[in-house]
Amino acid sequence: MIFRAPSMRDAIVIETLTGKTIREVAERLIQAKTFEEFVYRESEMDALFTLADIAITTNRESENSLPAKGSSMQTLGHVRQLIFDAHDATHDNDVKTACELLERAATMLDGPSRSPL
Amino acid sequence: MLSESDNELLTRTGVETPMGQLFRRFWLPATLSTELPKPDGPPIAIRLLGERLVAFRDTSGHVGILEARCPHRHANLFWGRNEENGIRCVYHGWKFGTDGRCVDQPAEPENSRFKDSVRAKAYDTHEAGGLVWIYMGPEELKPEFPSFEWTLLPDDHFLATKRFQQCNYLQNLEGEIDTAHVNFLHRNLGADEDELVPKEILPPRFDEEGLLPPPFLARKQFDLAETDFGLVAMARSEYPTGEYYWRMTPFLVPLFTLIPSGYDAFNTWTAIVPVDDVYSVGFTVTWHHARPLNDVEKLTVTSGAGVHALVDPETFIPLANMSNNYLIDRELQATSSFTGIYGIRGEDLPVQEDQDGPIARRHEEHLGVTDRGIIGMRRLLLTLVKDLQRGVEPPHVSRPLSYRARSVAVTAPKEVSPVDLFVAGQPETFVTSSISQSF
Repeated sequence: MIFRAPSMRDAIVIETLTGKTIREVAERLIQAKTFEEFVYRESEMDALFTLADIAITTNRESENSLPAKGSSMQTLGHVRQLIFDAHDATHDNDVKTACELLERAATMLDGPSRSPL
Repeated sequence: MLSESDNELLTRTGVETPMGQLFRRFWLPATLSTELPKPDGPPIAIRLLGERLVAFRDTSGHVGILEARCPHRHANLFWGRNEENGIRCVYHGWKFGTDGRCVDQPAEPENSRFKDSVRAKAYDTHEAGGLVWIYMGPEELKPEFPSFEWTLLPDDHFLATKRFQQCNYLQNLEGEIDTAHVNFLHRNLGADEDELVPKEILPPRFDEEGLLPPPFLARKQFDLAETDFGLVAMARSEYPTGEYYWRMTPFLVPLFTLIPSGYDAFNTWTAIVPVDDVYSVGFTVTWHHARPLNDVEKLTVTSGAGVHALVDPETFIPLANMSNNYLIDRELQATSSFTGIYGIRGEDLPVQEDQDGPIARRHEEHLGVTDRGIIGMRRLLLTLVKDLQRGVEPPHVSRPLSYRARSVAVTAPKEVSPVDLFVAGQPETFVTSSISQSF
Protein backbone atom coordinates (compact mmCIF):
# COMPACT_ATOMS: atom_id res chain seq x y z
CA MET A 1 0.00 0.00 0.00
CA ILE A 2 1.35 3.40 -0.97
CA PHE A 3 0.33 6.20 1.32
CA ARG A 4 3.11 8.69 1.74
CA ALA A 5 2.93 11.41 4.33
CA PRO A 6 2.63 14.86 2.75
CA SER A 7 5.69 17.08 2.78
CA MET A 8 4.28 20.58 2.72
CA ARG A 9 7.59 22.17 3.58
CA ASP A 10 8.69 21.47 0.02
CA ALA A 11 6.08 23.72 -1.58
CA ILE A 12 7.35 27.02 -3.00
CA VAL A 13 5.22 30.13 -2.73
CA ILE A 14 5.05 31.75 -6.16
CA GLU A 15 4.37 35.47 -6.02
CA THR A 16 6.80 36.98 -8.53
CA LEU A 17 7.92 36.05 -12.01
CA THR A 18 11.69 36.27 -11.80
CA GLY A 19 14.57 34.16 -12.98
CA LYS A 20 15.37 33.39 -9.36
CA THR A 21 11.89 31.97 -8.70
CA ILE A 22 11.93 29.94 -11.89
CA ARG A 23 15.33 28.48 -11.03
CA GLU A 24 14.08 27.62 -7.56
CA VAL A 25 11.29 25.55 -9.12
CA ALA A 26 13.73 23.90 -11.54
CA GLU A 27 16.12 23.01 -8.72
CA ARG A 28 13.31 21.25 -6.85
CA LEU A 29 11.97 19.64 -10.02
CA ILE A 30 15.25 17.93 -10.86
CA GLN A 31 15.18 16.36 -7.40
CA ALA A 32 11.54 15.32 -7.48
CA LYS A 33 10.93 11.62 -7.01
CA THR A 34 7.44 11.11 -5.61
CA PHE A 35 4.08 11.64 -7.24
CA GLU A 36 3.32 14.36 -4.68
CA GLU A 37 6.55 16.26 -5.41
CA PHE A 38 5.80 16.31 -9.12
CA VAL A 39 2.33 17.68 -8.38
CA TYR A 40 3.83 20.49 -6.24
CA ARG A 41 6.26 21.43 -9.00
CA GLU A 42 3.48 21.31 -11.56
CA SER A 43 1.32 23.62 -9.46
CA GLU A 44 4.26 26.02 -9.15
CA MET A 45 4.73 26.06 -12.92
CA ASP A 46 0.99 26.72 -13.23
CA ALA A 47 1.42 29.74 -10.98
CA LEU A 48 4.43 31.00 -12.99
CA PHE A 49 2.45 30.58 -16.19
CA THR A 50 -0.43 32.50 -14.64
CA LEU A 51 1.80 35.46 -13.78
CA ALA A 52 3.19 35.63 -17.32
CA ASP A 53 -0.07 34.99 -19.10
CA ILE A 54 -2.20 37.43 -17.14
CA ALA A 55 0.40 40.15 -17.64
CA ILE A 56 0.41 39.53 -21.38
CA THR A 57 -3.28 39.05 -21.98
CA THR A 58 -4.25 42.09 -19.95
CA ASN A 59 -1.32 44.06 -21.33
CA ARG A 60 -0.95 45.49 -17.88
CA GLU A 61 2.39 45.75 -16.17
CA SER A 62 2.02 45.25 -12.45
CA GLU A 63 4.92 45.93 -10.15
CA ASN A 64 4.11 42.81 -8.20
CA SER A 65 3.92 40.40 -11.05
CA LEU A 66 6.45 41.56 -13.60
CA PRO A 67 10.25 41.40 -13.41
CA ALA A 68 11.82 44.52 -11.99
CA LYS A 69 13.90 45.00 -15.11
CA GLY A 70 10.80 45.84 -17.13
CA SER A 71 10.93 42.98 -19.59
CA SER A 72 9.23 43.50 -22.90
CA MET A 73 5.97 41.81 -23.76
CA GLN A 74 7.84 39.86 -26.42
CA THR A 75 10.22 38.48 -23.81
CA LEU A 76 7.33 37.63 -21.55
CA GLY A 77 5.67 35.83 -24.43
CA HIS A 78 8.74 33.64 -24.86
CA VAL A 79 8.96 33.03 -21.13
CA ARG A 80 5.30 32.05 -21.00
CA GLN A 81 5.76 29.51 -23.80
CA LEU A 82 8.88 28.06 -22.21
CA ILE A 83 7.06 27.59 -18.90
CA PHE A 84 4.10 26.00 -20.71
CA ASP A 85 6.41 23.61 -22.53
CA ALA A 86 8.30 22.78 -19.33
CA HIS A 87 4.98 21.99 -17.66
CA ASP A 88 4.06 19.75 -20.59
CA ALA A 89 7.43 17.97 -20.48
CA THR A 90 6.90 17.32 -16.77
CA HIS A 91 3.60 15.62 -17.59
CA ASP A 92 5.56 13.36 -19.89
CA ASN A 93 8.13 12.69 -17.13
CA ASP A 94 10.83 14.39 -19.21
CA VAL A 95 12.27 16.28 -16.27
CA LYS A 96 15.59 17.02 -17.93
CA THR A 97 13.93 18.84 -20.81
CA ALA A 98 11.59 20.63 -18.43
CA CYS A 99 14.51 21.96 -16.38
CA GLU A 100 16.37 23.07 -19.50
CA LEU A 101 13.30 24.99 -20.65
CA LEU A 102 12.92 26.61 -17.24
CA GLU A 103 16.60 27.61 -17.25
CA ARG A 104 16.10 29.24 -20.67
CA ALA A 105 13.12 31.15 -19.27
CA ALA A 106 15.10 32.23 -16.21
CA THR A 107 17.99 33.37 -18.40
CA MET A 108 15.65 35.51 -20.50
CA LEU A 109 14.57 37.33 -17.36
CA ASP A 110 17.68 37.45 -15.19
CA GLY A 111 20.58 36.47 -17.44
CA PRO A 112 22.65 33.28 -17.26
CA SER A 113 22.83 31.40 -14.00
CA ARG A 114 26.10 31.54 -12.06
CA SER A 115 25.57 27.97 -10.90
CA PRO A 116 23.98 25.99 -13.70
CA LEU A 117 21.63 23.19 -12.76
CA MET B 1 -2.99 24.03 -17.33
CA LEU B 2 -2.97 21.26 -19.84
CA SER B 3 -1.73 21.27 -23.39
CA GLU B 4 -4.50 21.08 -25.97
CA SER B 5 -3.39 17.56 -26.84
CA ASP B 6 -3.48 16.37 -23.22
CA ASN B 7 -6.89 18.00 -22.79
CA GLU B 8 -8.13 16.10 -25.83
CA LEU B 9 -6.59 12.92 -24.47
CA LEU B 10 -8.39 13.28 -21.12
CA THR B 11 -11.77 14.43 -22.37
CA ARG B 12 -12.45 12.14 -25.35
CA THR B 13 -13.91 8.84 -24.22
CA GLY B 14 -15.37 7.08 -27.28
CA VAL B 15 -14.54 3.47 -27.97
CA GLU B 16 -11.56 4.25 -30.19
CA THR B 17 -9.98 6.74 -27.80
CA PRO B 18 -7.24 6.01 -25.23
CA MET B 19 -9.30 7.45 -22.35
CA GLY B 20 -12.31 5.49 -23.52
CA GLN B 21 -10.18 2.38 -23.34
CA LEU B 22 -8.96 3.27 -19.84
CA PHE B 23 -12.52 3.75 -18.56
CA ARG B 24 -13.47 0.43 -20.12
CA ARG B 25 -10.98 -1.33 -17.82
CA PHE B 26 -13.17 -0.53 -14.79
CA TRP B 27 -16.61 -1.42 -13.50
CA LEU B 28 -18.78 1.66 -14.03
CA PRO B 29 -22.27 2.51 -12.78
CA ALA B 30 -24.73 2.34 -15.67
CA THR B 31 -28.14 2.98 -14.15
CA LEU B 32 -30.16 2.88 -10.93
CA SER B 33 -31.59 -0.50 -10.00
CA THR B 34 -34.94 1.20 -9.47
CA GLU B 35 -35.10 2.10 -13.16
CA LEU B 36 -35.59 -1.61 -13.84
CA PRO B 37 -37.96 -2.38 -11.00
CA LYS B 38 -39.33 -5.77 -12.03
CA PRO B 39 -38.57 -8.79 -14.20
CA ASP B 40 -39.84 -8.53 -17.77
CA GLY B 41 -40.55 -4.84 -17.22
CA PRO B 42 -39.94 -2.15 -19.82
CA PRO B 43 -36.35 -1.86 -21.10
CA ILE B 44 -34.54 1.45 -20.79
CA ALA B 45 -32.26 3.25 -23.22
CA ILE B 46 -28.91 4.34 -21.89
CA ARG B 47 -25.83 5.85 -23.42
CA LEU B 48 -22.36 5.45 -21.93
CA LEU B 49 -18.93 6.33 -23.31
CA GLY B 50 -20.59 7.24 -26.59
CA GLU B 51 -22.27 3.84 -27.02
CA ARG B 52 -26.05 3.47 -27.36
CA LEU B 53 -27.23 0.65 -25.12
CA VAL B 54 -30.43 -0.98 -23.93
CA ALA B 55 -30.86 -2.39 -20.43
CA PHE B 56 -33.55 -4.84 -19.35
CA ARG B 57 -34.28 -7.11 -16.40
CA ASP B 58 -35.11 -10.59 -17.61
CA THR B 59 -37.58 -13.09 -16.18
CA SER B 60 -35.04 -14.38 -13.65
CA GLY B 61 -34.27 -10.84 -12.43
CA HIS B 62 -30.85 -10.61 -14.06
CA VAL B 63 -30.06 -7.31 -15.80
CA GLY B 64 -28.70 -7.43 -19.31
CA ILE B 65 -27.12 -4.52 -21.17
CA LEU B 66 -26.82 -4.90 -24.92
CA GLU B 67 -25.79 -2.67 -27.76
CA ALA B 68 -29.02 -0.87 -28.64
CA ARG B 69 -29.07 -1.78 -32.30
CA CYS B 70 -30.35 -5.17 -33.30
CA PRO B 71 -27.57 -6.97 -35.20
CA HIS B 72 -30.09 -7.74 -37.96
CA ARG B 73 -31.17 -4.38 -39.44
CA HIS B 74 -30.05 -2.09 -36.64
CA ALA B 75 -33.49 -1.24 -35.29
CA ASN B 76 -33.26 -0.04 -31.72
CA LEU B 77 -33.95 -2.83 -29.23
CA PHE B 78 -35.35 -0.21 -26.85
CA TRP B 79 -38.61 -0.53 -28.79
CA GLY B 80 -38.52 -4.25 -28.20
CA ARG B 81 -40.53 -6.62 -26.01
CA ASN B 82 -38.90 -7.84 -22.80
CA GLU B 83 -40.41 -11.29 -22.39
CA GLU B 84 -39.49 -14.80 -21.28
CA ASN B 85 -35.80 -14.30 -20.57
CA GLY B 86 -34.94 -12.13 -23.50
CA ILE B 87 -35.61 -8.96 -25.41
CA ARG B 88 -37.32 -9.35 -28.74
CA CYS B 89 -36.80 -6.85 -31.56
CA VAL B 90 -40.18 -5.66 -32.77
CA TYR B 91 -38.94 -5.31 -36.37
CA HIS B 92 -38.54 -9.00 -37.30
CA GLY B 93 -38.85 -10.77 -33.96
CA TRP B 94 -35.24 -11.68 -33.31
CA LYS B 95 -34.82 -12.31 -29.59
CA PHE B 96 -31.70 -11.99 -27.43
CA GLY B 97 -30.81 -13.14 -23.94
CA THR B 98 -28.87 -11.03 -21.41
CA ASP B 99 -25.66 -12.64 -22.66
CA GLY B 100 -26.39 -11.46 -26.22
CA ARG B 101 -27.14 -14.92 -27.59
CA CYS B 102 -29.86 -14.97 -30.22
CA VAL B 103 -32.48 -17.40 -28.92
CA ASP B 104 -35.18 -17.00 -31.52
CA GLN B 105 -35.57 -15.97 -35.17
CA PRO B 106 -39.21 -16.71 -35.96
CA ALA B 107 -39.01 -15.66 -39.61
CA GLU B 108 -36.13 -18.01 -40.46
CA PRO B 109 -36.87 -21.42 -41.99
CA GLU B 110 -37.89 -24.15 -39.57
CA ASN B 111 -34.88 -26.05 -38.18
CA SER B 112 -32.55 -23.25 -39.26
CA ARG B 113 -29.46 -22.97 -37.05
CA PHE B 114 -28.72 -19.48 -38.29
CA LYS B 115 -29.59 -18.00 -34.88
CA ASP B 116 -26.84 -20.03 -33.23
CA SER B 117 -24.28 -17.95 -35.07
CA VAL B 118 -25.86 -14.59 -34.32
CA ARG B 119 -25.07 -12.57 -31.20
CA ALA B 120 -25.87 -9.09 -30.05
CA LYS B 121 -23.04 -7.18 -28.43
CA ALA B 122 -23.57 -7.75 -24.69
CA TYR B 123 -21.71 -6.38 -21.68
CA ASP B 124 -21.16 -7.93 -18.28
CA THR B 125 -23.31 -6.47 -15.53
CA HIS B 126 -23.25 -6.56 -11.77
CA GLU B 127 -25.97 -5.26 -9.47
CA ALA B 128 -24.92 -3.88 -6.11
CA GLY B 129 -25.60 -0.93 -3.86
CA GLY B 130 -28.70 0.25 -5.67
CA LEU B 131 -26.89 0.47 -9.00
CA VAL B 132 -26.47 -1.65 -12.09
CA TRP B 133 -22.79 -1.71 -13.04
CA ILE B 134 -21.29 -2.44 -16.40
CA TYR B 135 -17.92 -3.70 -17.56
CA MET B 136 -17.22 -2.66 -21.16
CA GLY B 137 -13.61 -3.80 -21.51
CA PRO B 138 -11.87 -6.92 -22.79
CA GLU B 139 -13.37 -10.04 -21.22
CA GLU B 140 -9.97 -11.48 -20.33
CA LEU B 141 -9.14 -8.36 -18.31
CA LYS B 142 -12.41 -8.15 -16.38
CA PRO B 143 -11.48 -7.14 -12.82
CA GLU B 144 -13.00 -8.19 -9.54
CA PHE B 145 -15.83 -5.88 -8.52
CA PRO B 146 -14.47 -3.02 -6.34
CA SER B 147 -15.36 -3.35 -2.70
CA PHE B 148 -17.24 -0.08 -2.17
CA GLU B 149 -18.48 -0.08 1.41
CA TRP B 150 -22.15 0.60 0.82
CA THR B 151 -22.44 -2.16 -1.77
CA LEU B 152 -21.86 -4.60 1.10
CA LEU B 153 -24.57 -3.10 3.33
CA PRO B 154 -28.33 -3.81 3.55
CA ASP B 155 -30.48 -1.78 1.15
CA ASP B 156 -31.90 0.43 3.91
CA HIS B 157 -28.43 1.77 4.82
CA PHE B 158 -27.99 3.77 1.62
CA LEU B 159 -29.79 5.87 -0.95
CA ALA B 160 -28.63 6.31 -4.53
CA THR B 161 -29.63 9.03 -6.99
CA LYS B 162 -28.83 9.93 -10.57
CA ARG B 163 -28.69 13.12 -12.62
CA PHE B 164 -27.56 14.19 -16.05
CA GLN B 165 -25.04 16.96 -16.50
CA GLN B 166 -24.44 19.08 -19.60
CA CYS B 167 -20.67 18.93 -19.65
CA ASN B 168 -17.71 16.67 -20.11
CA TYR B 169 -17.14 14.33 -17.15
CA LEU B 170 -13.85 16.02 -16.23
CA GLN B 171 -15.49 19.31 -15.29
CA ASN B 172 -17.58 17.54 -12.67
CA LEU B 173 -14.70 15.39 -11.44
CA GLU B 174 -12.55 18.47 -10.93
CA GLY B 175 -15.35 20.05 -8.92
CA GLU B 176 -15.70 17.01 -6.69
CA ILE B 177 -12.01 17.10 -5.81
CA ASP B 178 -11.85 20.88 -5.38
CA THR B 179 -12.34 21.50 -1.67
CA ALA B 180 -11.40 25.18 -2.02
CA HIS B 181 -14.78 26.10 -3.47
CA VAL B 182 -16.86 24.82 -0.56
CA ASN B 183 -16.56 27.92 1.63
CA PHE B 184 -17.50 30.17 -1.28
CA LEU B 185 -19.89 28.51 -3.70
CA HIS B 186 -21.77 26.65 -0.97
CA ARG B 187 -21.60 29.43 1.57
CA ASN B 188 -24.87 30.00 3.36
CA LEU B 189 -25.21 33.57 4.56
CA GLY B 190 -28.57 33.08 6.18
CA ALA B 191 -29.61 31.05 9.13
CA ASP B 192 -31.71 27.93 8.88
CA GLU B 193 -33.27 27.45 5.49
CA ASP B 194 -31.40 24.19 5.09
CA GLU B 195 -32.35 22.79 8.45
CA LEU B 196 -33.33 19.46 6.91
CA VAL B 197 -29.79 18.87 5.77
CA PRO B 198 -27.74 16.96 8.30
CA LYS B 199 -24.78 19.02 9.40
CA GLU B 200 -22.52 16.22 8.22
CA ILE B 201 -23.25 16.99 4.59
CA LEU B 202 -23.46 20.75 4.86
CA PRO B 203 -20.36 22.89 4.81
CA PRO B 204 -19.80 24.43 8.21
CA ARG B 205 -21.22 27.91 8.74
CA PHE B 206 -18.92 30.47 10.22
CA ASP B 207 -18.79 34.21 10.46
CA GLU B 208 -22.39 34.53 9.39
CA GLU B 209 -22.21 38.29 9.53
CA GLY B 210 -19.69 38.48 6.71
CA LEU B 211 -19.96 37.89 2.98
CA LEU B 212 -16.75 35.93 2.68
CA PRO B 213 -15.58 33.20 5.01
CA PRO B 214 -13.03 34.20 7.63
CA PRO B 215 -9.41 33.87 6.53
CA PHE B 216 -8.75 30.86 8.72
CA LEU B 217 -11.35 28.95 6.68
CA ALA B 218 -10.87 30.54 3.28
CA ARG B 219 -7.09 30.16 3.23
CA LYS B 220 -6.38 26.50 3.45
CA GLN B 221 -3.20 24.53 3.03
CA PHE B 222 -3.62 22.05 0.20
CA ASP B 223 -1.87 18.77 -0.16
CA LEU B 224 -2.35 15.30 -1.48
CA ALA B 225 -1.18 11.75 -0.97
CA GLU B 226 -1.06 8.91 -3.47
CA THR B 227 -2.88 5.75 -2.43
CA ASP B 228 -3.74 2.29 -3.72
CA PHE B 229 -7.09 3.51 -5.03
CA GLY B 230 -5.84 6.79 -6.47
CA LEU B 231 -5.14 9.76 -4.26
CA VAL B 232 -6.45 11.70 -1.30
CA ALA B 233 -6.74 15.46 -1.75
CA MET B 234 -6.29 17.17 1.62
CA ALA B 235 -7.21 20.65 2.77
CA ARG B 236 -6.12 21.91 6.14
CA SER B 237 -7.52 24.97 7.95
CA GLU B 238 -5.99 26.31 11.12
CA TYR B 239 -8.67 27.18 13.68
CA PRO B 240 -8.24 30.06 16.11
CA THR B 241 -8.14 27.38 18.82
CA GLY B 242 -4.84 26.20 17.40
CA GLU B 243 -6.24 22.95 16.03
CA TYR B 244 -6.31 21.85 12.42
CA TYR B 245 -9.52 21.12 10.52
CA TRP B 246 -8.80 18.52 7.82
CA ARG B 247 -10.99 17.74 4.84
CA MET B 248 -9.79 14.65 2.98
CA THR B 249 -11.35 13.83 -0.40
CA PRO B 250 -10.47 10.43 -1.81
CA PHE B 251 -10.32 10.20 -5.59
CA LEU B 252 -10.82 6.59 -6.57
CA VAL B 253 -9.60 5.87 -10.08
CA PRO B 254 -11.03 6.42 -12.61
CA LEU B 255 -14.06 8.65 -11.82
CA PHE B 256 -15.19 8.21 -8.24
CA THR B 257 -14.84 10.53 -5.24
CA LEU B 258 -15.94 10.62 -1.61
CA ILE B 259 -17.20 13.87 -0.10
CA PRO B 260 -15.46 14.66 3.21
CA SER B 261 -17.46 13.43 6.21
CA GLY B 262 -16.84 13.10 9.93
CA TYR B 263 -15.92 9.82 11.59
CA ASP B 264 -18.95 7.57 12.03
CA ALA B 265 -21.10 9.98 10.04
CA PHE B 266 -22.77 9.57 6.66
CA ASN B 267 -20.48 9.07 3.73
CA THR B 268 -21.28 10.19 0.23
CA TRP B 269 -19.80 8.68 -2.91
CA THR B 270 -19.99 10.28 -6.33
CA ALA B 271 -19.39 8.98 -9.83
CA ILE B 272 -19.47 10.82 -13.12
CA VAL B 273 -19.70 8.65 -16.22
CA PRO B 274 -19.40 10.09 -19.72
CA VAL B 275 -22.57 9.71 -21.75
CA ASP B 276 -20.52 11.15 -24.56
CA ASP B 277 -17.86 13.86 -24.58
CA VAL B 278 -20.24 16.74 -23.84
CA TYR B 279 -22.80 15.08 -21.61
CA SER B 280 -22.42 13.04 -18.43
CA VAL B 281 -24.42 11.04 -15.95
CA GLY B 282 -23.71 11.51 -12.27
CA PHE B 283 -24.49 9.02 -9.51
CA THR B 284 -24.49 9.95 -5.84
CA VAL B 285 -24.85 7.51 -2.96
CA THR B 286 -25.19 8.45 0.69
CA TRP B 287 -24.88 5.71 3.31
CA HIS B 288 -24.29 5.06 6.94
CA HIS B 289 -22.10 2.09 7.70
CA ALA B 290 -23.81 1.19 10.99
CA ARG B 291 -27.52 1.85 10.64
CA PRO B 292 -30.42 2.42 8.24
CA LEU B 293 -31.25 5.92 7.04
CA ASN B 294 -34.32 7.25 8.81
CA ASP B 295 -37.22 9.00 7.07
CA VAL B 296 -35.90 12.51 7.69
CA GLU B 297 -32.52 11.57 6.29
CA LYS B 298 -34.12 10.05 3.21
CA LEU B 299 -36.16 13.21 2.77
CA THR B 300 -32.98 15.22 3.06
CA VAL B 301 -31.39 13.26 0.26
CA THR B 302 -34.38 13.60 -2.02
CA SER B 303 -35.01 17.28 -1.17
CA GLY B 304 -32.22 18.51 -3.41
CA ALA B 305 -30.87 20.70 -0.63
CA GLY B 306 -27.63 18.77 -0.35
CA VAL B 307 -25.35 16.98 -2.78
CA HIS B 308 -28.13 14.99 -4.45
CA ALA B 309 -29.69 16.93 -7.30
CA LEU B 310 -33.40 17.58 -7.54
CA VAL B 311 -34.31 15.99 -10.87
CA ASP B 312 -37.24 15.17 -13.06
CA PRO B 313 -38.04 11.59 -11.97
CA GLU B 314 -38.56 10.44 -15.55
CA THR B 315 -35.66 12.09 -17.35
CA PHE B 316 -33.17 12.63 -14.48
CA ILE B 317 -32.52 16.11 -15.82
CA PRO B 318 -32.03 18.57 -12.94
CA LEU B 319 -35.08 20.78 -12.46
CA ALA B 320 -32.78 23.79 -12.17
CA ASN B 321 -30.63 23.66 -15.28
CA MET B 322 -28.98 25.80 -17.91
CA SER B 323 -32.20 26.27 -19.88
CA ASN B 324 -33.84 28.10 -16.95
CA ASN B 325 -30.70 29.82 -15.60
CA TYR B 326 -30.63 27.28 -12.77
CA LEU B 327 -33.63 29.13 -11.30
CA ILE B 328 -31.25 31.68 -9.83
CA ASP B 329 -32.93 33.96 -7.30
CA ARG B 330 -31.07 37.28 -7.19
CA GLU B 331 -32.98 38.38 -4.10
CA LEU B 332 -31.88 35.26 -2.27
CA GLN B 333 -28.35 35.87 -3.52
CA ALA B 334 -28.44 39.37 -2.05
CA THR B 335 -29.67 38.27 1.33
CA SER B 336 -28.86 34.75 2.37
CA SER B 337 -27.16 32.61 -0.27
CA PHE B 338 -23.81 33.17 -1.94
CA THR B 339 -25.27 31.98 -5.25
CA GLY B 340 -29.01 32.40 -5.08
CA ILE B 341 -29.31 28.84 -6.36
CA TYR B 342 -30.99 26.04 -4.44
CA GLY B 343 -29.03 23.11 -3.10
CA ILE B 344 -25.40 22.18 -3.00
CA ARG B 345 -25.56 20.14 -6.20
CA GLY B 346 -27.67 22.85 -7.76
CA GLU B 347 -24.89 25.33 -7.05
CA ASP B 348 -22.28 23.03 -8.56
CA LEU B 349 -24.08 22.68 -11.87
CA PRO B 350 -23.68 26.19 -13.33
CA VAL B 351 -20.00 26.52 -12.48
CA GLN B 352 -19.23 23.10 -13.91
CA GLU B 353 -21.46 23.21 -16.98
CA ASP B 354 -20.88 26.84 -17.92
CA GLN B 355 -17.12 27.14 -18.24
CA ASP B 356 -15.98 27.51 -21.85
CA GLY B 357 -18.84 25.26 -22.81
CA PRO B 358 -19.07 21.53 -22.32
CA ILE B 359 -15.30 21.05 -22.68
CA ALA B 360 -13.08 23.53 -20.85
CA ARG B 361 -10.10 25.09 -22.63
CA ARG B 362 -7.55 24.04 -20.06
CA HIS B 363 -4.58 25.42 -21.95
CA GLU B 364 -5.91 28.89 -21.14
CA GLU B 365 -6.77 28.41 -17.45
CA HIS B 366 -4.84 29.84 -14.51
CA LEU B 367 -4.39 27.44 -11.65
CA GLY B 368 -3.04 28.18 -8.22
CA VAL B 369 -1.89 26.19 -5.21
CA THR B 370 -5.50 25.56 -4.18
CA ASP B 371 -5.80 23.40 -7.29
CA ARG B 372 -3.24 20.80 -6.26
CA GLY B 373 -5.87 18.09 -5.91
CA ILE B 374 -7.08 18.74 -9.45
CA ILE B 375 -3.52 18.80 -10.76
CA GLY B 376 -2.85 15.50 -9.00
CA MET B 377 -5.99 13.86 -10.37
CA ARG B 378 -5.20 14.95 -13.93
CA ARG B 379 -1.60 13.83 -13.61
CA LEU B 380 -2.69 10.43 -12.33
CA LEU B 381 -5.22 9.93 -15.15
CA LEU B 382 -2.73 11.12 -17.76
CA THR B 383 -0.11 8.72 -16.43
CA LEU B 384 -2.58 5.84 -16.52
CA VAL B 385 -3.85 6.58 -20.01
CA LYS B 386 -0.36 7.05 -21.44
CA ASP B 387 0.77 3.85 -19.72
CA LEU B 388 -2.19 2.03 -21.26
CA GLN B 389 -1.19 3.34 -24.68
CA ARG B 390 2.14 1.61 -24.05
CA GLY B 391 0.39 -1.59 -23.04
CA VAL B 392 0.60 -1.15 -19.25
CA GLU B 393 -2.71 -1.94 -17.56
CA PRO B 394 -3.96 0.27 -14.68
CA PRO B 395 -2.88 -1.35 -11.39
CA HIS B 396 -5.89 -0.03 -9.47
CA VAL B 397 -8.24 -2.63 -10.94
CA SER B 398 -6.41 -5.32 -9.01
CA ARG B 399 -6.91 -3.57 -5.66
CA PRO B 400 -10.67 -3.97 -5.07
CA LEU B 401 -10.39 -3.91 -1.27
CA SER B 402 -8.87 -0.44 -1.28
CA TYR B 403 -12.09 0.89 -2.81
CA ARG B 404 -13.77 0.34 0.56
CA ALA B 405 -12.33 3.69 1.67
CA ARG B 406 -14.24 6.40 3.51
CA SER B 407 -13.62 10.12 3.42
CA VAL B 408 -12.51 12.12 6.45
CA ALA B 409 -13.42 15.53 7.87
CA VAL B 410 -12.00 16.03 11.32
CA THR B 411 -10.58 18.56 13.75
CA ALA B 412 -7.44 17.42 15.48
CA PRO B 413 -4.39 18.73 17.34
CA LYS B 414 -1.68 19.99 15.02
CA GLU B 415 0.76 17.28 15.91
CA VAL B 416 -1.48 14.44 14.69
CA SER B 417 -0.33 13.11 11.32
CA PRO B 418 -2.90 13.40 8.50
CA VAL B 419 -2.11 9.84 7.51
CA ASP B 420 -3.07 8.66 11.01
CA LEU B 421 -6.26 10.71 10.80
CA PHE B 422 -7.15 9.16 7.46
CA VAL B 423 -6.46 5.63 8.62
CA ALA B 424 -8.50 6.18 11.80
CA GLY B 425 -11.53 6.97 9.67
CA GLN B 426 -11.41 3.78 7.61
CA PRO B 427 -13.47 0.63 8.05
CA GLU B 428 -11.63 -2.06 9.95
CA THR B 429 -11.65 -4.33 6.92
CA PHE B 430 -10.06 -1.63 4.79
CA VAL B 431 -7.26 -0.99 7.27
CA THR B 432 -6.40 -4.60 7.92
CA SER B 433 -6.44 -5.63 4.30
CA SER B 434 -4.70 -2.66 2.75
CA ILE B 435 -3.35 0.39 4.49
CA SER B 436 -1.69 -1.24 7.44
CA GLN B 437 0.83 -2.87 5.14
CA SER B 438 2.35 0.48 4.27
CA PHE B 439 3.65 1.40 7.71
